[in-house]
Amino acid sequence: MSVDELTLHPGIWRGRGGHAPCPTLPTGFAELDRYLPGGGWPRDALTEIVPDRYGIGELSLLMPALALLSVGTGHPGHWIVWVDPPFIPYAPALERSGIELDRLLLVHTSAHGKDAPEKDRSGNEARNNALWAVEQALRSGACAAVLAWLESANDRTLRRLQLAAEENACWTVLFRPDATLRRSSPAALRLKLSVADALTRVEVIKCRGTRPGTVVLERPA
Amino acid sequence: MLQPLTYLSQEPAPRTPPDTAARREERLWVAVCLADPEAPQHLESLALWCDRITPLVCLAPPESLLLEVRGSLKLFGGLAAVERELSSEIAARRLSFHLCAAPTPLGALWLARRQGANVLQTRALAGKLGPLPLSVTQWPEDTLTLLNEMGVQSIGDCLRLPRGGFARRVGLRHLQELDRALGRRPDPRAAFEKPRNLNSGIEFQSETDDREVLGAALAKMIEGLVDSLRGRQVQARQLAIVLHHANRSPTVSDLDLMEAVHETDRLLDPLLARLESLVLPAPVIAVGLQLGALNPMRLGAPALFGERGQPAGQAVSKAGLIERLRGRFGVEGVCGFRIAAEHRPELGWTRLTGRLLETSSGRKARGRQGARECKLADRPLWMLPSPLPLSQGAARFRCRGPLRMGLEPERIESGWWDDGDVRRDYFTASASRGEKLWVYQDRVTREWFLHGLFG
Repeated sequence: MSVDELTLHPGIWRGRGGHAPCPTLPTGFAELDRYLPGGGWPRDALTEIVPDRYGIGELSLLMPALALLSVGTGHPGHWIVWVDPPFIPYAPALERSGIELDRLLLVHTSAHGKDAPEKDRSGNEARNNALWAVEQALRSGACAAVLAWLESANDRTLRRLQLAAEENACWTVLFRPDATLRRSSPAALRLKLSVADALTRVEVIKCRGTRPGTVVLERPA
Repeated sequence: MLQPLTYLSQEPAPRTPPDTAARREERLWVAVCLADPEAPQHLESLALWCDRITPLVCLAPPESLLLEVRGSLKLFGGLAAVERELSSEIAARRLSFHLCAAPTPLGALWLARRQGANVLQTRALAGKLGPLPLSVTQWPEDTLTLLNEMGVQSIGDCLRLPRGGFARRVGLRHLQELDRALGRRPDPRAAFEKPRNLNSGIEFQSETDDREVLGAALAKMIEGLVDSLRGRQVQARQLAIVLHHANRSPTVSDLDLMEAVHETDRLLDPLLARLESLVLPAPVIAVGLQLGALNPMRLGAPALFGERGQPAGQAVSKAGLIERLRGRFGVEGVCGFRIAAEHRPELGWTRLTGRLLETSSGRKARGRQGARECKLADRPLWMLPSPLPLSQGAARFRCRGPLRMGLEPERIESGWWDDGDVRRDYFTASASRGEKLWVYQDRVTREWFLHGLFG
C-alpha cells in the first residue's frame, strides 16, 4: 500500500490540504474555494454564518452555490427551504442570481395566525418551531438545501441538525447572531462576515480539515 | 303440509358468478370462526381488514367470516401463507379463532366451528362433514330436537335419510343447506358491504385537553380510515378535525393535503402536527374526523432501494414535506414565489400558497419573462415588508454616519391607474459600516425611505 493510498483513509487527518471528508459544493468565489478543504462548501453538513449585520452581502455569498443546486438535477432533494428569513427574499433578485424560483419554499414559523395570542408564551415556542421546521426539512430527504435564521439553539439541537444534514445529504446553512460565536458548535464550518472598504472579510472560525483563517473577497455586485 | 318435490322450479335460479374460463376453477373458502363471546363487535372491522386478502368477504353471523381466496393464492403464495396472514392479524387483535378452508362456504364454516382440518376437494367433503355433530349447523333448536329424537346425531346421518322425507319432515331449507355444504347446489354469497360513511368519531369518558389522548384517538381513527380507504380503493385529499366541546360550538380545523394519500403516516403526521398547533378554547369531549373529496387510488411504484443517502421507506415526497410544515404553520406559513410583471418593486413578486404551490413548476415560462424585464436594474436580495422612513430604518439597523448615495437614481413611476400611485427615485446607498441599502426619495413628498438591503 502506498502512502498516497494510506492518506485516503478517513481516519487520517492531514490538516491543511487533506482530503475532503464530505462532498463539497463550489462556492463560486475562487479565493474561498481555494481555502476550504475539498474546494467548496461542505455539502452534507452544517455551515454556520454569523454576519456582522444585515445588508453586507451575506446572501450573495451563497447565491452561486444555491443557483447550482437549484438547477442541478443530480441531487435527490428538490426544495431549497428558507426558514424564518428576517426580511422578504426578493424574488426578482433571486431569479437574477440564477435561482429557479419554483424550487424555493419559504416557511414562516411564527406567521401562523392562530399563534398570535400565544406569542407572549415567550420566544421559546417560536424557536422550537424553527428548529422543528429545519429538522423536518432535513429528515424529509426532499431538500437540496436549508437556510435558517435561528436566534438561539443549544449544542444538543445543533448536533441533531448536523447529524440529520449528514444523513440526508442536505446543505444546511444557519445564520446565527453574534453572541453565539463565543460558544462551541458542532457545525463543520463557521464563518463570521464583515465588510471593510468594499471588501467582504470572511473569517473562518472553525473548519473541518483546515485551520481557521481569513479570506477577503471582492464584494459581489 | 306437503312440500312439492319439484322445489327447484319455485326458486330463483342461484346467480352463478361470471366465470369466463370454460374449465371453471373450484372456489376455495376460508372460514374464520371467532370463539370470543364479544366476537360480533369485531366482525365488521375484521371484515374491512380482510379486504386486503380478497374482494369477496362475507359475514356469517353471529361469529364468523367467509373469505373466498382462490384468486389470492397465487399472490400470497399458497393457502398456508393466506392463513398465516389472517392468523397474525387476528392474533394481533387479541381474539381467539379457528380457521378452516373448504370448497364450499358452508362446508368451511361447519368445519371451522368444530375446528376441523382443511378440505381441498369437493368429493372429499361428504366424508369429512359426515362425522360432524348437528350443532355445527346452528339450525333452530326445535329442528335439532326433532332430528335428535329421530336418532339423527350427525350430518352423515342426515345424508343417509331419504331426501323427499327429509324435506317434508325437517324442512326444505335445511335440505338445501346440506346440498350447499356438499357443493351439490351453488351457494352465492353477498360480499360484505363496506360502510359508505368514512367519517368517524370518538367520545371521551370525561373532558380532556391532553393532546396525547387526542392524538391517540386520531391515530385510532386513522387506522380504521386507512382500512376503509384501501377497501374502497380511494385516497383522501381533504380532512377536517372536529373537536367537540361541552356547551360550545366545535373547533374545526381543515387540512388540505398536497396529494391524495391512503397511507397511515402520510395522513397521521400532518394531522398530529396540526393538532399540536391548534389552540383549544375549552376541554374536548369528543373528537371527529371528516373526509372531504376522495380521489380514486393511484399507486406509483416506489424505488426499490430508496434514494441515495436515505434509507428506503423513510423518504417523504416533496409534497409530503409541505403537508407536514403546513400542518404546523398553517397554509399561509408555507409559500413559494413567483415573479410578477410589474414595475413597482413591492409588487414585483407574489406569494404562492395553497394549491398554487404544487403547480408552480408549470409556470416557469412566465416567470422567465418577468426576469428578463427585471434584468434592467440591480435589485436587492432582501426586501422590507413595507418601506421604512429612513430615520427609522437607520435606527433599526444601527446605521451611523452619512450615507453615500449611488450616482444615478432609478426612477420608477407607475401605478397611476390603480390606487398604488408611485413616483420614486431609487438609490443604492452605502452606510458607514459597509451595508448596502436600497433607498428611495418620494418625488411628491420629498421624504426618504429604506426599501431593501443588499444581503
